[in-house]
Amino acid sequence: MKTRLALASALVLTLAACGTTTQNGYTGANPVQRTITNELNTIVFIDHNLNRTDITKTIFGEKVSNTVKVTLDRSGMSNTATGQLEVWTMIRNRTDYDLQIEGKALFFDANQAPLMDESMWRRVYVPANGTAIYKETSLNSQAEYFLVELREGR
Amino acid sequence: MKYFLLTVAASTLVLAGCQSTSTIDNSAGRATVYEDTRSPGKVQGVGVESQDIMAVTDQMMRDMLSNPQLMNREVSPRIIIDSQYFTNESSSRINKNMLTDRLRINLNRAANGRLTFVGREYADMVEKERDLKRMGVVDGGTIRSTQATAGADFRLVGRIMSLDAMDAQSQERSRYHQITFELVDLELGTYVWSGMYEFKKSAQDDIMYR
Repeated sequence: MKTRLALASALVLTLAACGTTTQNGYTGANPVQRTITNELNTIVFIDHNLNRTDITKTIFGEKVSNTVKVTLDRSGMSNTATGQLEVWTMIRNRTDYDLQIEGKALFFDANQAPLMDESMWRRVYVPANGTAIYKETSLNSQAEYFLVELREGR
Repeated sequence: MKYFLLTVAASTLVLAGCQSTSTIDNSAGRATVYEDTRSPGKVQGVGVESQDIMAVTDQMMRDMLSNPQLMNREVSPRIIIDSQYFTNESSSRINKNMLTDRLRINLNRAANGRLTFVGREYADMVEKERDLKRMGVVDGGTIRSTQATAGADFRLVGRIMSLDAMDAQSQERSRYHQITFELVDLELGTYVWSGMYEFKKSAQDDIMYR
């Protein structure tokens, strides 16, 4: 009986080990964020340690696990008095320690063509369990679309 | 006699073998690599570095471009941006022109005629050429002739300041930088725009800035 149980558990463990294939042909720990297309007017985490979803396909189905250190509570865009596009987001630190987040914005015109307007990394200090605002403005009034990328401060 | 010669030769060889230890370190160094100027590099300390220069000038430029007092004028204002009144009072070694030049150049490109920049730094050069034109040594050029060179409406002033602290035991040091930028109205003497950039770094380093 003991031998059977041992064999059965060994087989289950072996099959579980085989099921490490993740989405879109990537193997190992590759989050969903790595393979999706970045739409314009979105704010994305390019540092997947901050916020990511891992889907692992196993023989028992898909196993979804989320890593959430930072979330975006609110975001918006508006035009300044001088006509530039302004994008902002409210960053929430979900950890018990202080974090530094760096953000960078890219701006595009009405045809979604790049304006070659890429801001430098702007550092935002987010206290433990606290909130901070990241805001960036375009260089001119031609900007109609944006893409904001966030990473952990270096 | 033969044995004597053999003994001498053998001891010479042994002694020569003992001398093979070299004191010259001839190992290969690290090959040169390009680094992203917008992010901290391999060699970093507590001073003002490339990523700080790029971040501060980018932030100030975007702030100036979104200021209605500057940008919403019927006639584009004339501005002087150079390091003449931009002082370094910090303990960081830095070429101030790296900040003012980058700010002026990027602002000039982004403003696209909405702001006019006066090159006061090169006023001597302009005056010499004007004199040559007026004296008839050279012709008048192809653009135009004016009564005088451009007077400015605003001029950049500012300071780089720092506050240092050091833990004498661990030799760890920190430096807080405060960089201020302001535009002064050259008729009225008022500030029409102000911007500030602050950062603090700490390290246990022996980096030298040159």
